[in-house]
Amino acid sequence: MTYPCRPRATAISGLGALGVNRFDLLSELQYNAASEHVLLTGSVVEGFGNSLSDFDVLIVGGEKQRPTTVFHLASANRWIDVTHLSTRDLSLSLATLYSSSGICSDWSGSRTVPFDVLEQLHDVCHGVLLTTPWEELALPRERAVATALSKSWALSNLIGARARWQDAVGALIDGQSLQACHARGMCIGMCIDGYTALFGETDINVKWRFAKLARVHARGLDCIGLFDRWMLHRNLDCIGWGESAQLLFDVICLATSGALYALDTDLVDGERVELDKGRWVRVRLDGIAEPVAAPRRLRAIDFSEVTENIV
Amino acid sequence: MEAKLMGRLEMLVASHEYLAQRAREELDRLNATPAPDDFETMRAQAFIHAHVGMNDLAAQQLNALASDPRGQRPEILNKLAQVKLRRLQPGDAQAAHAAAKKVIELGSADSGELWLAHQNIALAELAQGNIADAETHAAEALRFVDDPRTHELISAIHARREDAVPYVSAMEPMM
Repeated sequence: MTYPCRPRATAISGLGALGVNRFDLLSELQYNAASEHVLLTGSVVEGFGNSLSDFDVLIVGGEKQRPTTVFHLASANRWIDVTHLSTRDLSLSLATLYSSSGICSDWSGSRTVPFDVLEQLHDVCHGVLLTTPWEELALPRERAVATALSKSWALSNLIGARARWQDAVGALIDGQSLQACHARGMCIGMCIDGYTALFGETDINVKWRFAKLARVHARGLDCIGLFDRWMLHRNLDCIGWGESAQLLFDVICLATSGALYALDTDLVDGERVELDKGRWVRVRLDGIAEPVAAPRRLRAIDFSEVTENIV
Repeated sequence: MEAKLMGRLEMLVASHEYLAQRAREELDRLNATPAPDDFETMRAQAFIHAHVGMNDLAAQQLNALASDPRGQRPEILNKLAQVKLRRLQPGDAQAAHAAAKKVIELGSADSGELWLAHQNIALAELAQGNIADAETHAAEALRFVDDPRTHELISAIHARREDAVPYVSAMEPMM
């Protein structure tokens, strides 16, 4: 099965193919060459963009927060969105990321990191550096940050997915079948985002959901075969309760214990099995969680390639 | 007519003629380069714009060049400092100071480049009202080149004339 899929751009040398003249772009920006970093971010760098996509620029440094600006770069025939991240706000974002507790088997009480913080740090971590300021300003582009981003974005999606599942079950019990399908589809979407996040796809924009899944697949990391099984030409709302419960189970297992398990329990529509607060439970339609035997561990998954694109 | 005023005006007119010649040389050099890359093309634009007095455009383009390791050399950093001092918008004095300081830190600048770097730091300090630091760097500049522009600057420092900064920065070597 083929699907158009590009890798992330990781270096300035890759920008020529995107029609970017770095100096033309930089000369249109208001920044301090001595002390500020300029990064190209967004869909074009992510590998999801096309000939009509905007260029997103992030300027990091300085003391004051500055307003976002937009202008047209005639030489590239693109619109340029410019956002700023002050040194202080960068420090605060990092502190927020590290203060979240990440994912463990007791994950449902974990704090999630605000979306704007995840987005900023993803851009700082994975954007293409266009400048080399001569005054010292180290950017947090190390593996530890990329790994924390993966875990945080996966956690946000897991918590959201479980909430949408509850919505779907509530609608099912109430006889609202269309609403149940819709909420279950949202749950599946969040499961996909959480799944790809575990493999380093931490761009939080949901519009690239299937492009991210395609890339995880292309990198040979799609350990549950999600791309081949479901994702081409399928409407998420049409995926049944059994397959949905399997996906939610798989993603929770991967996120909390880094392994895949066999879901051998017979479930009725709307039931699920999960690991939370250190124990395996079956969550019934009435919301009651009853303990079940630990499922059979199939295999551990290597997430070491998560940070492959860090410069 | 006062002789000192005539001398200043003479220096400005001579500077203008000198800069026109330098702009022509930049254009000729770009024309003679078989396949100039993005950096070389931007460099030519930046220097021509600086030489003809389009300081805003030149400052933007020199800033872009100075963001690249190839552009972090005395010629470009000194020119960046110079155009910032000529226009002197908010933040320009600090940016000029940082660029000129980098020239000194590079360790590769010749005496003419070090003269200009110290001259630019002195101008940046004067623009910010730091008279003592301006005097120190003007004196340091004279150690490298005994240039009439530095004497002009020292006069401005003694008179505490911050408004002289763009004026002195616009002066170029006499041909």
